[in-house]
Amino acid sequence: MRSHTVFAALVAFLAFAATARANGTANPGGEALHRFGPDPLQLRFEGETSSRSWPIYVTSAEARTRARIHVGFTNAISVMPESSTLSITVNDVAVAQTPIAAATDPGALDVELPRGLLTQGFNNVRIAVSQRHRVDCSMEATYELWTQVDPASSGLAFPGVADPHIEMLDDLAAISPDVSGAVTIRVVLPDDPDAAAVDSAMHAVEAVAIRANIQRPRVEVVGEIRDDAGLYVLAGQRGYLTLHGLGEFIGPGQGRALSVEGQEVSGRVIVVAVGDSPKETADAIDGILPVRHAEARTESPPAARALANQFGYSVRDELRVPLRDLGVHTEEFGGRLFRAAFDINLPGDFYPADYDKLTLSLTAGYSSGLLSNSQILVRVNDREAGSMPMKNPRGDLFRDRPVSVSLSAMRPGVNHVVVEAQTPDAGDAACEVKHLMDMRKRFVFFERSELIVPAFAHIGRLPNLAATLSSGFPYESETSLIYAPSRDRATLSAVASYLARTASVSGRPIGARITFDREAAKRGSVLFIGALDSFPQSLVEQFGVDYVSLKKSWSRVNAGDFSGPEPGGTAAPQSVDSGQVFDQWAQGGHAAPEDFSPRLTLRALYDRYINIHRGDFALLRDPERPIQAPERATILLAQAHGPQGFDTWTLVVGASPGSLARDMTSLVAPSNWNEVEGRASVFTPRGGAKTIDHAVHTYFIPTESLTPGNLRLIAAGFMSANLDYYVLSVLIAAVLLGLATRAAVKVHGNRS
Amino acid sequence: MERSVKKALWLSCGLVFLILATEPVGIRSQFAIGVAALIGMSVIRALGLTGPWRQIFLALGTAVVIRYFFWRTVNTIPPLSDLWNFIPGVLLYMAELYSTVMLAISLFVVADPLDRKPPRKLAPEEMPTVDIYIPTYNEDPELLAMTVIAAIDMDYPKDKFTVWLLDDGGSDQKCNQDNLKKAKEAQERRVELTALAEELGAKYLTRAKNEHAKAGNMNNCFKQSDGELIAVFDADHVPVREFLQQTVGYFREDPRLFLCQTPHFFTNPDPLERNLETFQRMPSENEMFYGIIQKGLDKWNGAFFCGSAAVIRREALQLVGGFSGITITEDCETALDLHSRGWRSMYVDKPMISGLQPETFSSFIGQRSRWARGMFQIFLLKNPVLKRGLTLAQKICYLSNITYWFFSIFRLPFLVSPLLFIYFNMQIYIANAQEFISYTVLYMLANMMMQNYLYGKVRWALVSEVYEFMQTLYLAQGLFSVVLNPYKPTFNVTDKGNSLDKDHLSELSTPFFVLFGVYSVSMIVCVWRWFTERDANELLGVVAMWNLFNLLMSSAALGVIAERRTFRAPLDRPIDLAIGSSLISAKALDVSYGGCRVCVPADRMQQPVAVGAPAVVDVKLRAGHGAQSFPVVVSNTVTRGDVVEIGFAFGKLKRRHYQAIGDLMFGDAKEITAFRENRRRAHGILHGMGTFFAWSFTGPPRAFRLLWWEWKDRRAALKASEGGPGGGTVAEAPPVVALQPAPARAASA
Repeated sequence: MRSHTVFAALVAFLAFAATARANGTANPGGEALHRFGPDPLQLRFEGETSSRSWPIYVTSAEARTRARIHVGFTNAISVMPESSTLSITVNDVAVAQTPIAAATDPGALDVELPRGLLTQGFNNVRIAVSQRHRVDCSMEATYELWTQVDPASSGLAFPGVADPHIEMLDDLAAISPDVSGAVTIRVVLPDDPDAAAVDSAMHAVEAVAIRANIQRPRVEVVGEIRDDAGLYVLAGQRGYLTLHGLGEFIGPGQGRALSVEGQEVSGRVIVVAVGDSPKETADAIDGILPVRHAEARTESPPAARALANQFGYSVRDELRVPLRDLGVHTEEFGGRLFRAAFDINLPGDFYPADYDKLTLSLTAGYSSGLLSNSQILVRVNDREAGSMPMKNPRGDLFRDRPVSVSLSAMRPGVNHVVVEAQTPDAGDAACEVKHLMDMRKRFVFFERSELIVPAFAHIGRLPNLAATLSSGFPYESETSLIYAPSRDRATLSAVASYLARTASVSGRPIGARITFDREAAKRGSVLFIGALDSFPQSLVEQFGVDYVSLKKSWSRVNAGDFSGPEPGGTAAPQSVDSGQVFDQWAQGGHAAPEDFSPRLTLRALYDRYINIHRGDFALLRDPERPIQAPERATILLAQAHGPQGFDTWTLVVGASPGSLARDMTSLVAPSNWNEVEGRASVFTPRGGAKTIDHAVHTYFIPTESLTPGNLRLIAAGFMSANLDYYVLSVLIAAVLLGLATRAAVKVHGNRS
Repeated sequence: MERSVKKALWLSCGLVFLILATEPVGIRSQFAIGVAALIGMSVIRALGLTGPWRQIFLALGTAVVIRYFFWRTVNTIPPLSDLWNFIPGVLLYMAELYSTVMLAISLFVVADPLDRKPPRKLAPEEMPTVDIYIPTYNEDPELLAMTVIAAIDMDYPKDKFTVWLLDDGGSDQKCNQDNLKKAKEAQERRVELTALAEELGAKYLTRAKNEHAKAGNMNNCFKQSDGELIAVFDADHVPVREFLQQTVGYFREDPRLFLCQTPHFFTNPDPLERNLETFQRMPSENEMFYGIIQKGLDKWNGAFFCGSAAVIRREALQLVGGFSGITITEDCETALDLHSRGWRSMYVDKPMISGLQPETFSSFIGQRSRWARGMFQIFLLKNPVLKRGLTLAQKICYLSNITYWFFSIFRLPFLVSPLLFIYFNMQIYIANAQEFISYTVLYMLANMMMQNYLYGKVRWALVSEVYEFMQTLYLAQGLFSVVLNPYKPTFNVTDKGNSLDKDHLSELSTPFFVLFGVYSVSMIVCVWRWFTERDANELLGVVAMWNLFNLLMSSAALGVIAERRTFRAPLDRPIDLAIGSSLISAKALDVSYGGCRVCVPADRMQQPVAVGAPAVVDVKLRAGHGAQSFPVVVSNTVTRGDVVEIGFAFGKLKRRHYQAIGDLMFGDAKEITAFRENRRRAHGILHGMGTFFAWSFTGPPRAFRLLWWEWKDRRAALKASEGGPGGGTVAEAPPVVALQPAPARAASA
């Protein structure tokens, strides 16, 4: 694409944002564009080396076209075009490469793909960026480098195919995300639906989100199916739906029926799952879910890899896997700050405590002439978790050298792991022009490096929102409930978006049932979603939330002090809002360069070598503080121990149904969803999601069978986090042993 | 019933304890429990709590040790793929494993040291007949005389015991050997000792062939004597009068008793004690064994025969055909055989003999090397673990005695490991500084506290390390020779009674100079690396401290191999000296096997004294036994200010004379015990460390000064032999008479 076409696309995007968003798949240009979802932030490449892969579904019709790949981008002014490149790889085949020179005018890369490279099904598209600073050789300066790929115009284009004709459930994955990265699902429900109908609809939405590989679902509850482009889902009992005037789209026949219709109106797909009895309906809905057998999966290895890593590499138990499988590629690097990043997804019953270590067994090498403070740093969730010095002045090449990260640095759900190599050399300080152009390779990282996860303890430890958002725990069973205080469309849309995202991340539908019955919601584990006003103060305060201040700040929001787009409006521009990104930066979303000189105060030494604080002793802990939501927050998530036994209550509240629905669509973006953790989190439109409180007092919910091995790890973890319990138990055991020894010794052998 | 219940209870408590101690908790929990345990142990120690608190103290310490060891095994050994570091890493680990296993075994052994009640007083007709064996090979007749006379004078019915002098130095084989000079010496010896025995009232016995050394010697007499009991004294072990009265009664109380062992007590310092000047204030090295360990062994019926100062039942020996002679530690071997047949032994912690330790460092090493090799022979040829008839407790006891000697091998990795890092940057112990503090340092503290708690009265902190350091190189060689030929390692007799008349370097000193040099250079390299390598390397700091410890150890070692002239504090015993025609009240300063030294105020000397003049010394015997005199001959005189010191050699001594000399030289049981107790004050770890530092600082200057003198001497001698004039300066010869202290020093008055 030439620059003026890109510019036109940008203008079109700004002007027709609403319609463009509504018509998710249709492209004004007349060819289907399958964008890179699910989050524009994923299209931002920072630092000297950065890359990302996406699994993109291609239908058989699309695969037969002469597909092209469009990438439009802008970059920071500090990027030196002469030594910075953006390259594209499809299914592990290098396809295109261009220098990065789009600081003033947007740049673009438009390449036709070789025939046969794309196959029907999922394909792996990878963008890799290598950037160098124009004038500054320091490591700190590398944080100024960025390239932003335009989410609107970038993607796979299939000329001649205006929209993917979707005939099968698998092809649902061909629906392109819109500019903001979301895929809109319109679920059809009559006005004032009953709980069972809503339940079926929710399950169907979840199943569709899973089957269509939708990472960022934006669900709207609608009353009818219109003749416009979009994905519609209609599910429920035949009788009920027909009664409410939706029989038109349900085919003839009886018993369970599952159908996909995508021919009548261009760009519109309708998924219908109905049955005559509740069981048949449930079976039909289950039919939407993908088949899981290994033989049935036919992706090529690169595509399988992209799919495996889209929610973070799933780690169920102990494993040992080369980083190649996590999307890391062998790379020779000539800059100062190398990064290899990947995500791992730990189960909801992962118990994070200091009872074992996760190991990165690194195979890498570094050249001679590096400064002695060169090191490899491992960051987990933006905190430094392990390091390895690179001190040999003559350089070194090593295999399988371990760097350990304590399991207490991890959390259930998605963990961002970054292997960072700091490789400053002697010439960086002077930074002469010749040195800037120097392409000498300083560091090499091999994809055969391994991630070794030890056997970890499986037990639910709550409250921890990360567990709930990443795996639905503890709402997978049908005995748990989802309580929505009202049946208006906005609230139900918010509920559906939340559930669809949860299902998508965890890979299976949520078992909990929806209820509107306040009384029923008093027993068992309950997930409360709705506007603040519709919940009684006593309920909200049970979560430790400061109800009064929250209500006050949100009544201002409702009065319009804080102006925002209406529900269903253009939330899209905000997602690309550099303001949000700026705020994330400002709040330390990315780690700053380290201060290398060790501080020699007593306090620093204590923290470094001993590091025991009051909070480590269970008996000395303060009670939980009340949860105070910050000013700009529009969604508050909180979790607390339910009234009885192992019950867990989770609360998701917004200022009003409208704002809840609107902001939920931003919350489900991965960059926000994965940051929710602890006892309370908030979503702020400009700042994204942020955890505001980690639980001090936690409780356990057993999940798997408590085998001796698991129990031992759980006990070790518990006693690592509560030092006083360990000390007391060992002291008591020592006293008992001493007494028993004395008694035994006195009756054996000769006596005085 | 109750026993097995208590055993089961102990096992289950132990299991719970083990599970808790090996939980993989994080490092901060480790630090917390380590500190808590150490605090608990300190409180118990400071408050002096007794009873079950002893076992609780040890359990707390064990928790720290178990946690350390678990972490050490799982986390700190280099991976197998890194073979260059893996092999030394495993060797170092095995050395630590050894010390942990030894600690565990020792906790069992000294679980409850036994104190025995005195034996029943026997009626005269009940008293058994006793043969007293005094085996000898090359000891001087003067020395033997003391022992024999003391044995003869023991408080026991005269018709019920016989003293045998068993001479292997005057055997037929020796007298008829090819070397004419040696044969003549042997013949003279036989004649002299036969006369001595007759004079003193003992029986002299020798044999045709020198087979099986001491065991064979004693078996020869065994066949020709018939006393119900046998008491064995080494040639230099002078018994006190009440020895038999205090031991024989037990054999009537228990018909299955085969051994009653008493502690060895030494009146002279061993080389370390002498060269580091600790004899008066620090317990001797053997006191840990005789003071605590044998008492612990006794509880488990594992007290074993130590070759001397013991009484054995003939009937038991008969069953095993006499004293065992397969290994060169025939004493332990004999006890092993008898224990395995269900006989019982006992240990009575009353020091009732006064003996001599090897004086020079080389003879000390010779003695220890023999013990090490002999024990290792037992391990290979008569392994207690496999011996039927021993109880589990006895097997552990014997194993502890034997495996103690493996320290010589397992100490070597500790000496070498820091050098691997300093010079080759090999990392054989994978730990960062935080882990080092939370695991290793706390473990070392707990270990030291436990050792100090168990043995603090009889062994100061770090003294074990010094002894082991001195022995390790030589004993390791010895053990190796046993491996090569288990049946015939060379057996050299320790020579005792050697005198030291001037400061000089031990002939075995070279390796210690080398080690000192190596560690000094390494220390310099450490400092250089610290300042030149940009990042402050925590690992380097830790290794530097380890190397510093080795350096201090080798410095103290230099203090040991710089042999001091034997210097003993004066006796100050009042005597009457009849010389010429006058009778002078004087003071005996010193007495030994060859003679004595007397101090006379100058004004009381009416005539000058000529060398060779005869005199008589009259001594008031202790404990009101009257007075006794003995003849002496002047050998030298020295005037110091207003006193005259006269050195005397003994004249022709008769039996009664020996009594007086013995009275001057040796104390009775009470005095010995008092001297021993006076040294056994409980001192803390800091005190031990302070003394250790003192040795490290004083050692090298002395050693290097001696080295310098020897080098000068050698050069002068070289010049002299080349015909040049003027030899080197010879150090002034102090008085010729070799002097030994009497243990009465510590007794007030």
